[in-house]
Amino acid sequence: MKATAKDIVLCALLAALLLVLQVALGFLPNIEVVSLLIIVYTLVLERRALWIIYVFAFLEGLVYGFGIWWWNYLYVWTILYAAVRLFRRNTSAVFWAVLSGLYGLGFGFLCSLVYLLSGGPGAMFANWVSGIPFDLVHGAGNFAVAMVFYQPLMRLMKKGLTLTLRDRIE
Amino acid sequence: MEAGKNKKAAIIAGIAAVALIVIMGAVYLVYGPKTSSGTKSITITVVDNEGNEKVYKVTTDAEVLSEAFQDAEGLSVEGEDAEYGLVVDTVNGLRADYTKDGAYWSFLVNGEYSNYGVDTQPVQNGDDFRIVYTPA
Repeated sequence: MKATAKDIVLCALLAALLLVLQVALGFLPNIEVVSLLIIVYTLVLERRALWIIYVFAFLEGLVYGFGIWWWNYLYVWTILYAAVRLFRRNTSAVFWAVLSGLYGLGFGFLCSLVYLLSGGPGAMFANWVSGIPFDLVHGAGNFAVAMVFYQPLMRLMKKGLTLTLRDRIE
Repeated sequence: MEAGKNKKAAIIAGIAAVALIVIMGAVYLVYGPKTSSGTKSITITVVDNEGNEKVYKVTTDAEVLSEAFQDAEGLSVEGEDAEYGLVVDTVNGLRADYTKDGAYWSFLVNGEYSNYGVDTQPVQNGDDFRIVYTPA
């Protein structure tokens, strides 16, 4: 995958946008737009979305510190990326909203996997169970956010990229 | 044809989401935190930034840890209310704010890291809580 200067700048900007929106909406309990943006980035930019995900993870570490939670970021968003790639031919906004909701529901479970290594199955299970109420809110929030913003964001991304990466979005 | 496939995929994903919600709700009901009423005897140990320990033997009717703090004579716990409840940043006047001090207060329950905030951590008779100043 050969990167051009435009690719690098675009991915850096989109990663920065992820970070800014994540921090800006941090006060809303379990409501986030990162999942939807990663879905949209992956659908439009395909494999280049991975660069954005890892730049974003690094920036998150710089802002919040590289604690144990940070290791989650090295795989949780990549799992979402993989799921989107798997269903990339689907064009239904409802489907992507449901997938985003499913991801929100499973987010705590995915994050708890890191505790399997640090504390064993008991620690992982306890960590997951303690977060279930938040995962339920996360799932509902993701579904609602995607229902409202999926189509406008897809239009915006495609329109914006037509000006910069015309040859890659067809 | 394509629209039909998209719709079918959305319906399957929706069914999966509903099933997951039901399973998660059931797991939480069975294995989630359970508070209990009645009087309990617990121990709260505070370990400061120099490793000094202060032990509080507490008799309390509290059901969650933040309520038990009020029954620990001489113990002062402060913080900010957030989405997960009280986020403790100062214990006995010693601040451990991650962004300002590069440290935080760890909470252990019977030797294991607590999975809950102080507002939801259940208190059971005989529990041993440790609040430890932890450099990041």
